[in-house]
This record gives sequence, structure tokens and C-alpha cells, in this order.
Amino acid sequence: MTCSTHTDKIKAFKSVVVLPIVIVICTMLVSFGVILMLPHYYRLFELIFVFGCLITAWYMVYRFLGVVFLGVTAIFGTSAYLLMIVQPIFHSYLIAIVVVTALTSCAFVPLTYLLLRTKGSYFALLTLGLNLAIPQIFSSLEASVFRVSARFVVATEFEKLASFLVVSLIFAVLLSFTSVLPKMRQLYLKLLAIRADEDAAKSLGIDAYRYRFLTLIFLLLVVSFVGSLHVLQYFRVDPSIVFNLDYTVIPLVGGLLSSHFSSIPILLSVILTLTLLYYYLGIVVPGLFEIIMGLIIFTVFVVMSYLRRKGGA
Amino acid sequence: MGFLEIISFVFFAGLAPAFISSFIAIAMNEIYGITRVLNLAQGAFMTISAYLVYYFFASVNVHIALAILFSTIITAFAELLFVYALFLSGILRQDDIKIEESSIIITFGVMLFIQGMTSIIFGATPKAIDIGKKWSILPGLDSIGISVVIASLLIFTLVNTLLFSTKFTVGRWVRSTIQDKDLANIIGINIEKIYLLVGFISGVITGLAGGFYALLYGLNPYFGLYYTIVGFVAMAVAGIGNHLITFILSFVIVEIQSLLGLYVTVGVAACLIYIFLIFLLVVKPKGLRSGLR
Repeated sequence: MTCSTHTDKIKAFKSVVVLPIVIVICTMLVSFGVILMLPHYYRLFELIFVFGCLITAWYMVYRFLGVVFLGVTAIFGTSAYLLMIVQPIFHSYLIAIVVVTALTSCAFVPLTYLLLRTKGSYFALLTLGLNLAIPQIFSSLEASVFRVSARFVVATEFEKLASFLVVSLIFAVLLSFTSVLPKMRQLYLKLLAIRADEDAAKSLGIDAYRYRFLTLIFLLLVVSFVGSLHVLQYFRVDPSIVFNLDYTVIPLVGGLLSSHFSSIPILLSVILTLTLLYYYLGIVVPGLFEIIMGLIIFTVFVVMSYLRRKGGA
Repeated sequence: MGFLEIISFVFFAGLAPAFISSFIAIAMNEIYGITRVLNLAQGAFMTISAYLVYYFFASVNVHIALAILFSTIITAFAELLFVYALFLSGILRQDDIKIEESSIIITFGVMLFIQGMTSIIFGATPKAIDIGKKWSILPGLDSIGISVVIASLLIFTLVNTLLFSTKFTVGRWVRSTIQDKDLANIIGINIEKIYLLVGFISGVITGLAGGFYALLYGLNPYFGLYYTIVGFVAMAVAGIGNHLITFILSFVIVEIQSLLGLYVTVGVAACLIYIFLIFLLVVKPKGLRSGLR
């Protein structure tokens, strides 16, 4: 009995402490390896880490809240473009990134608070509407107030490398958190209970709305922080570049696939596959990436549902 | 130009797009009310129709009326096929909430697919049809705009009468299905046929909206999303089955947006309306009226 308890403790220690450390060290090694040995793949790896962060955060929200958040582009683009506007005031990217992350999250919190009060399906559609509405504000601001059509990034090479490393670190932390979460019994069970039956969870004394809201704030923080870091890799920025619908499509497809086959290796392979598809297909044939994403969604839901029904019959 | 002249100019110029967005709102309401599918691809189906009109008119040299007819039929069959695929897969046999949730993701996928296909086939650069705008009666509204408005009113009346009047058997079947599809099934109404019929009619309305849009504006693969969002908000605020209110609301949204554009930029006007409608949805989650359910 004592022996098995001891073994369990070692297993728990390995999964709660050792696994996250291993994930962080491996990711940082990959990042430094890319910078030192594979500079040609720097852009690809930066995208892998950015999409990795977005997919992981989206996956957590989808898994624990059961809501489809389609406004990733709006938040991502807002923080990215806000950074371009705010940076000349502070003359420092570090301060600007912190300010922009805080500003973007604060701006979207009341809106998310309102949207959370609507039905799940309405929530999805209204968040998609944000992707249309927010870029219009920035385009109008640029045209009528600032009178510029585009902005240029003036970050040094060091700042770009630093942003790359920070994004990879965020990705590693998120991945570690995802792997450790099932071991954090209290929090994990509460989140699962809310997802399974919100009314039952409420009657058990769980403040369902608080947890739902906190999970969404977590998504807002991650997306806005990554957005403000990612924009440093560009040279010329205008609203059509940062408010790209692909920043919503990739987390959606990645999150859906990961939730169907829930495990860390699967999550990693989904992130890699989607980024490679986006990176290479986007250049070869514009539009092909969207077709493939559409087909994946259709296959996962409609074709698999049909096959399941036939199998059941 | 005096203030009233400017207002009337903006109002009449906004009439045709307001009617087009009303069409999409009605098509969405119809599909959602009966099948519970929240069709994010409604605007994308409209894109198909608009590009087909462009193709038939500009490349095959078909008369513009025939071009709209052909494109409407093709779009209607495309939407019918889509509804049939959902029915076959068993998604439409689930609970209402499950249908809504999965339909959002599926239709988002369909929207991406259609956008990608139109980008590949027609290219991402804007396309436009030039049929010559000859005469104008009202300030801001040319001959094409007037035709679009009259045709829209006629089609709206026809569809509304056919589908929602208790005088017609089909209308009674549709109303019963909206109110309780299980009960409708028990009393012998063929739900599958109703779904397909509604998919087809929704496709016809969307196809016509796309055709009219192609007459008035330039085309790009992504224009449909705006109409989907306006249509959805109008539908959600109006309530299921409330075609007339959906029609009026969607019309009012676009007109107010045009009029607000006199004081603030169009983008900011769209945002203001969007935020106001979110408030309305939070306060009245079931819409202004409970509708037929």
C-alpha cells in the first residue's frame, strides 16, 4: 500500500513538475537552435509558436466553456495595430507591449462580458462580427485622424529576436499548463463540471459565471500579448494585414481537431501541420488554404457524423 | 445641396443595399426557424450567385435577366444540397441546441470553402458588371436600384404569402414545423421534404440577392460576410419566423448606417449599430417578439 502510494507520488511529481520543465527546456532549445543554426526557417518557427499559442488558448476555451470564439482576429489585430500606434509615444517596445496588452484586454472585457450573456451560438456569430467591425474603426482612424495608409515597424534585430523568444516561451508555458491541468484536480473538475452541466455545477456552489469569465480573460490576455509581439516581425503594417481571418481559422480548426483527439502529441502535430499548410500553400495558390480548412471542418463534422450514424445503424 | 436633399439622397441610395440585406436576413430566418441551422455561409452562397451572374453576363454574353435566373437556380440547388447533406449526416436529427452549435462551425467551414473556391476560380481582384445606368427618377437611386427595390418587394410578398399564410397547405406545414418539428412529424408532415423545400427557397432568395448585388456593386470573394452578420443580427433581434420584422429591421439597420455615415465614418457607424444590437440581444435574448415558436 505504502509502496503504491510512493509510486503514485513519484508519478504525480513527474507529471506536475518534471513534464512542464522538460517542455519549456525543449522549446527554448528549439528556439535557440533555430536562431543559431536555421535562420532561414526563423519565420516558419515564429509562426509555429504564434499559432501554437492561439490554438492552445482557443482549445482550452472550447474544451472548458464549450463556446466557439470566432473573434480571435479582432483581438489579435487590435493589439498588433494598437502597438504600432502607441509605440511612437513610449519610444520603447517593451513598455508599449505591456500597455497594449492591458489596453486590449480591458477594452474587450466589457464586450465579452456582454456577449457571454447571449446564447452559445449567438456568441459565436457575434464574435465573428467583431472581426468585421474592429478593422473598420482602425481604417477610419487612420484615414480621418492620423491620415496615414500604413505604418512601418522600426524594431531592431535584437527586439525581433527577443519577441520570437518570448512567444516561444509563452507557447511552452501554455503547453505545460495544458499538460498539467488534469493534475490540478480542484480546478480541472470544476471546469469539467461547468462544461458538463452548468446548472448542476451552480447548485454545487461553483461560481460558473466567474470561471467562464476568467477563462475568456485568459484567452484575451494570451491573444493580445501574442498579437503585439508578432507584429514586430512585419515590416509594413496596415489593417488588412493584421486583421486577417486566418488568425481565427487556424485556432478554430486546430482547436477542433485537438478536442477530437485530445492529447499533447496530437496538439503539437496539429499545430505543425496547420502552420506548414498555411506557410507553403498560402504562397503557392491563394485560396487553397481556405478550401482545405473548409474541407477539414466539413469532414470532421458532417462526414464523420454520417459515418458514425451508418456504423451505429 | 440642402440638408433635406442630402438626407433624401443618402436614404434613396441606401434603399437597394437595404433590400438586399433584408433578403439575406429573411433567408437566414427561414433556414434557422425551421432547421435550426445558423447559416454563416448564407453570404457565401450570395457570393456564388453574384459571381455566376458576372460569369454568365461578362463571359458567356447571356442577357442579364437570364443570367440572374440561371445563377439563382444554381445557388438554390447548392443550398438544397447543403441542407440535404446535413440531413443525411443526422445533424438535423439532434437537439436544437446541438444543431445550432455544430451548424455554426460547419457553415463557417462551408463559407471558407466557397471563399477559397471563388478566389481560385475568379481571382481575388474586384470584378464589376457594367450594364449602363441610364435614367434616374429619385435622387441617389438609378434605374437598376429601382428595379431591385420593386423586384425585392414582389419576391418578399410572394414568399411570405406562400410559406407563412394559413391559406396554403405548404404554409400550414411550414408553420407547424417551426412550432414543433416532432409533433409535425407525428401528424404526418414529411419533415425531410419541408427541410429541402426551405433550403431551396432560402437558396432562391439568396441567389436573387446575389444577382441584384452583382448589378449594383463590384465583387470580391469576401463581401458576403457583412450581409451574413447584418442578416443574423436582424433575424436574432426580430425573433424566429417574424419575417416582416426581420425585413424591416435589416432595412432599418442598413439605412441608419448610411445616414450615420453623414456624421461619422461608415466603419464607426457600423460599429455603433453593432454594439447597440448586442445590447438589444442581451436585454431581449429571444428577440423583440417570440415569433412562431
